[in-house]
Amino acid sequence: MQVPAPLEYERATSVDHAIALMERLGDEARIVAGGHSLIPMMKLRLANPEYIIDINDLREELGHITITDSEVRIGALATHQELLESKELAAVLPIFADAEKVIADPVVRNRGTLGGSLCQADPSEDLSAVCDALGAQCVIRNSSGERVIEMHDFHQGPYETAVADGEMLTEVRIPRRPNSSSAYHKVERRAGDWAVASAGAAIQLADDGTILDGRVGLCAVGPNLTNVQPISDALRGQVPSEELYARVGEIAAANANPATDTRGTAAYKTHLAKELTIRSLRKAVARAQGQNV
Amino acid sequence: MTTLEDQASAPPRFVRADGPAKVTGSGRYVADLSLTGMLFAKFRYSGVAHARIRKIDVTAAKAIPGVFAVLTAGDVPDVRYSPVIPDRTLFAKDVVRFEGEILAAVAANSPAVAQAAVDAIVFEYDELPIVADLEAAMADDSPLVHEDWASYAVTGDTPRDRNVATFSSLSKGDVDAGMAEAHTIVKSRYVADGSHAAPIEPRGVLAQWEGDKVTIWTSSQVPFDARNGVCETLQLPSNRVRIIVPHLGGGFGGKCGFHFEAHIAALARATKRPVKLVFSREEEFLVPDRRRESMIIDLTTGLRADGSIVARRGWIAVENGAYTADAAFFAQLAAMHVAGPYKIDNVHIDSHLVYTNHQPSGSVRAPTAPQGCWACESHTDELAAAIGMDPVEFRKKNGIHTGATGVVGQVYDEIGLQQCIDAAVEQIDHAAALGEDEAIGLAVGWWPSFPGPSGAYVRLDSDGAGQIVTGAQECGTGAVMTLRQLAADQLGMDPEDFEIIYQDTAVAPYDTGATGSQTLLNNGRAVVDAAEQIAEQLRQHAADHMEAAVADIVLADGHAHVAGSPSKNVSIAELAEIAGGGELLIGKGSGKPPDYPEIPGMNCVGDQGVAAWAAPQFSCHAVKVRLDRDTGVVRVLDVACAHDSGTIINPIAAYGQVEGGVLMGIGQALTEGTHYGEDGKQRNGGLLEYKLQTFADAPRITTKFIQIPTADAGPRGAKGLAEAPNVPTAAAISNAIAKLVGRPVRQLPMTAERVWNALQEETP
Repeated sequence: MQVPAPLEYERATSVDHAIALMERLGDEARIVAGGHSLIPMMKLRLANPEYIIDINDLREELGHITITDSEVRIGALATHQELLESKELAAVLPIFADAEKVIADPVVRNRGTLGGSLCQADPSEDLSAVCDALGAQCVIRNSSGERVIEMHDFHQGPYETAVADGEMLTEVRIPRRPNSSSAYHKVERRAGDWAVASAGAAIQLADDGTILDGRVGLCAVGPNLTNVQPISDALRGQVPSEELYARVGEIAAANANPATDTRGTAAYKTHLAKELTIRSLRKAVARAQGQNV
Repeated sequence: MTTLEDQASAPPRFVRADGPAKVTGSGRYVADLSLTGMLFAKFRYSGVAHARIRKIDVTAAKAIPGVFAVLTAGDVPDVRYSPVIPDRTLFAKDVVRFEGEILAAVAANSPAVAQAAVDAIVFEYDELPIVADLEAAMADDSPLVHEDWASYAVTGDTPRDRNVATFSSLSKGDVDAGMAEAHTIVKSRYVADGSHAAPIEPRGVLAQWEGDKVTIWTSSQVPFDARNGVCETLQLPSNRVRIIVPHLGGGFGGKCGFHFEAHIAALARATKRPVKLVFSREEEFLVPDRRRESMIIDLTTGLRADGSIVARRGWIAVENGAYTADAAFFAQLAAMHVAGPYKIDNVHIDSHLVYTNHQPSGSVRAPTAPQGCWACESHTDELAAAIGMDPVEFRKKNGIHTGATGVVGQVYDEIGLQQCIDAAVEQIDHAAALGEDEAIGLAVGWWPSFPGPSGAYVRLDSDGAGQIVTGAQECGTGAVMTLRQLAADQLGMDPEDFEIIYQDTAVAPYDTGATGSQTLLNNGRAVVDAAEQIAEQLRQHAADHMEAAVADIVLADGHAHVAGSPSKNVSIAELAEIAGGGELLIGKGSGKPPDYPEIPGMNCVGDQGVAAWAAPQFSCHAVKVRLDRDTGVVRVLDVACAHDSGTIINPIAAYGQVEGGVLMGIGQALTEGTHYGEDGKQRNGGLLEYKLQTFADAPRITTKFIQIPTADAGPRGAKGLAEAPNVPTAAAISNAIAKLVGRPVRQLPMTAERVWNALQEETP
C-alpha cells in the first residue's frame, strides 16, 4: 500500500557512531543514504527495517573523490551527480561518466550514492558492473577496524553483499594503471531506465600495443555480477582487433545467464551481452590508445 | 526542444486560469481533501483472472477494531450496468472475470486498518480456464467469459456470438470484383498489444451523505456520466447525487466513464460517515475498466496498375477484456481507422469486439485509432513499395480531398488532408539531411468530431466581473480554460475578466465531459450562446444610455460604443452596474448540436454510430528516426506535424495538445505495452516496468495547423483536437523503421527487441 511500516530513525554524527548504532541494533537496522533503493523497498514492504540510520551528515568522512598517482578513492557517499561531473575522474576512469550519463535522472543522481548502489547489489545496477570491470576494492568498516575485499567477493548474490551486521561500506578503491582506459555501454528501454543489458570494459595496454590486462563487467544478464574471467584470459597478450572483440563478445554471450522478463527475452539479452561487450572493448582500447572517443 | 512555428503570426494571449494553482501546489485534488469523521476505503480484488466464487467470507474482516463496514454484492442493488451491453455489477457475483474485479469494499478508520480488513477477507474459488488469446477466444470450443450473456439486457444492433461482444462490418461496393481487377495485391497482418492511459494522478473518490443526498468528489473526466452511473447502480434520482471534480491530474480517457463512485457512496451510506478512496499506482494499472485495447488486424488491398486502390478487405479483432465498459462502438471505430482516409470504391471489413479474461478496455485517447492507423499506414507504405511509388505520392493520389467520397460513402466537404501531407513533408524536409541509419517515415490519420448536447451559463455581476458556469470538465487540455476567451470575445471583454465555475453537476447544466475531443466543439457553442444573450442585454442598456440605436452598438475593449464613433462610449462595468439594479445580466446557452452527415451506399452490420463522421479532423505526421542496427534501439529525432482541426482558437493550448499527443504516440510506438502472464495477470502493472516516455526521450516537435473554418462544427469552424495528435505518430515511426529494416515490424509496441528480431529475418 505504498507506505512503509512504522520505524525508528536516527541521524549518525560519525562513521563510528553509525557503526555503534548498527552493532547495538543488529539486523533490524538499515543505513539510509540517498534512499532511492531502500525507501521504495520499504514502501512496497519488501524491506521492513525497525531502525533507520541516516548517514547523510557524514559527507566529510565519506563524500570524497580522491585521485592519487596510484589509485582512485571514492567515498561511499559520493553521489551519482558528483561522479558524473568530476572532470578529474573522467580523465582517469571515463567509464564512470559513461555510466552516470545513463543512470536515472537528475533527481535520482543528486541523491543516490556509490555506496548505496553497491550495497543494494541489484544485478541490474550499473555501478556494480563499472566497479567490477575496474577490479575495484571495497573498504568495509566495523568497530574493530576495516577490511578490504575485492569487488567479486563483495557481491555474494542478488541483493546480498559481504557487509555483515554492524558493518558499513565506506570507500571504493580503484588502482590506477598506466596506458589504461575504460568504457561503458547500456541498452535501456527509455532514457535513464534500468539496463536491459550493459557492459563495462577496462583495458590496459602494454608498450607494444598488445593488451596487458582487460576486464569486462556485465549487468542485468544474470542473477549475479558477471565478471567473465575467460574474457580476461582471452584478451591478455592479444593485439586489439575487431576479430578479437567479436571473439570476446561470444565469450560474454556464452557466460551470460539472463532470464526472460518484461525487459526482454533471454535470447535478446544474450545478444546484447555480446554486442555491448564488443562496443565497450572497442571504446576502451581506443581511449587507452589516446583517442578522444 | 519544441518549435512553435506559427507563434509569430498568432501571438499568444492565453494564460490558463488553473495553471498557477497547479504549478504552485495550491490546487486541491481529491486525495488532498478531508472531511470530519472521514473513513478510508480499500477494495478486495479477485487476484485471479477467471474463477467461480465458492465463498467470500467477511466475518473476520468485520471483527477488526476500526472497521466500520465491509460491503459485498448482496449489500447493493442487483443492477447490471454499462452502456449498450450491461454486463457488469459493482461487486463480483458468482464469477470473477479479471484480476482487478472487486469482491468487497472496506471502510475503516485508517488506511492500514482498511488494508488489514481486506487481507482478512476469505475468498474461496474454483479456477476456470482463462480466455486470453483473441483468435482462440473466437473459436467454437473456447470457454466463455460470460456464460450467461444471453440474459443481459443488450440494446441496439449487437449480434452477440459466444465471446464476440459486438460485430460490425463496413461494406461498400464489390470487393471480390475489385480484387479480380487488381494489378497488385498486398496482404498484411499487424498485432498491437494493449496499453494504458497512465495519468499522473491515481484516482480518488470521497463521498458524504447529508440526509438522502450524496456529494461525491471524484477524479473523473465525465462528471455527469459518473453521476448517472451512481444513480443507475444505487437507484437514486439524479438530483440527489452531486458530483464535484476538484483539479484533475490528467486522464487521457482513463478517467472517462463511471468507476468507483458508487462503491464509496455505498460505504458512506452504510457507515454514516464520509469515506475516501485513493488508488495506489498498482491499482491505477490493474483495476479501472479503461485501458487501450489490444488488436489483431488483417488487411488485403488490391491496386490498379496506376497505383489507385481498387479494393480493400479487412478482418479485425479488438480486445474487449472482461467487461464491455464503453467499448461497444470500438469494433466499428477500429474498422474506420483500418479502412483509412482513402478513396476506395470496394471495401469490406469485418470487425469483432472480443471478450477475454483481461482488464476491460475503454476510451483511452482516440480509442482504436493509433493501432488501426498504425496497421493501415504501415500497410500503405507496403502498397506503395509493391508498385515502386513514393509513399507521399501514393497518399496524395489515394487520400481523400474536398468533395471526395470516402470508404463509407461519406462525401467530404472542405477538408485539409492533402494540405496536411504537404505541410508535414515541408517541415520534415528542413531536417532532412539524413545521417547513417536515419530515415523519414510519414503517416496520415483521421478522427471524428462528436456533436452533442452541452450547456453553460454566463453572468456579469454588478461590478462588471464575469462568471462562466459550465458543465464541461477540464482534464488538462485547456479546453475549459479556452471558454473564457470565447465569452470575452463575444462581449468585447478580456478573458481575465471571467472566472469559471466548472466540474459540479449540481450547479451547471449537462455536458458530456472531457471525452471525444468535444469540449470546445459543444460547450464552446453553449458559452457563445450564453454570452450573446448578455451581449444583447448590454447593447440594449448602452443604446438607452447613449440614446443610440441598438443595432449601432459595438462591444469592444471593455466598452460599448456607437459604430463609427468610438469616443461615444460607456464602459461595460458601468452598464453592469445599471443592470445590477434591475434585470440581471444572465445568459444561458446550449444550442442545437450540428447534424451528423448522411452516408448513402454503405452497408453496415452492427452499426454503432461511428461511421458517419461529423467535422472530421485530419493529420499527417512525418518523423525522422535513427536505428542502432546491432541492438534494435530506435531513437525518434524529429516529428513534424500538420493538423486540420478547423479554426484554431487557442494556439498555445493547441500546440500543447499536439506535442502531448506525439509523446504519448512515441510511447505507444516504442515502449508501452502490457505483458500478461500465463495466469492472465499483468506482469508490468506499474511505472517501474511499464515504460512511459520522459522528457529526456522527447524529440524536436514542430506543428502547423491547416486552418479551414469548418461548417457544422464548433465555434468559428473549430473542430476537436485533443485526440487527433495521438493517432498517426506510431504509424509514422513504423514507416521510418521499415525503411531502415527493410520490412515493417508487425507488432506494437515496436520495442528494440522486436525491431532487432525483424532485422534478423531473411528477406524473402
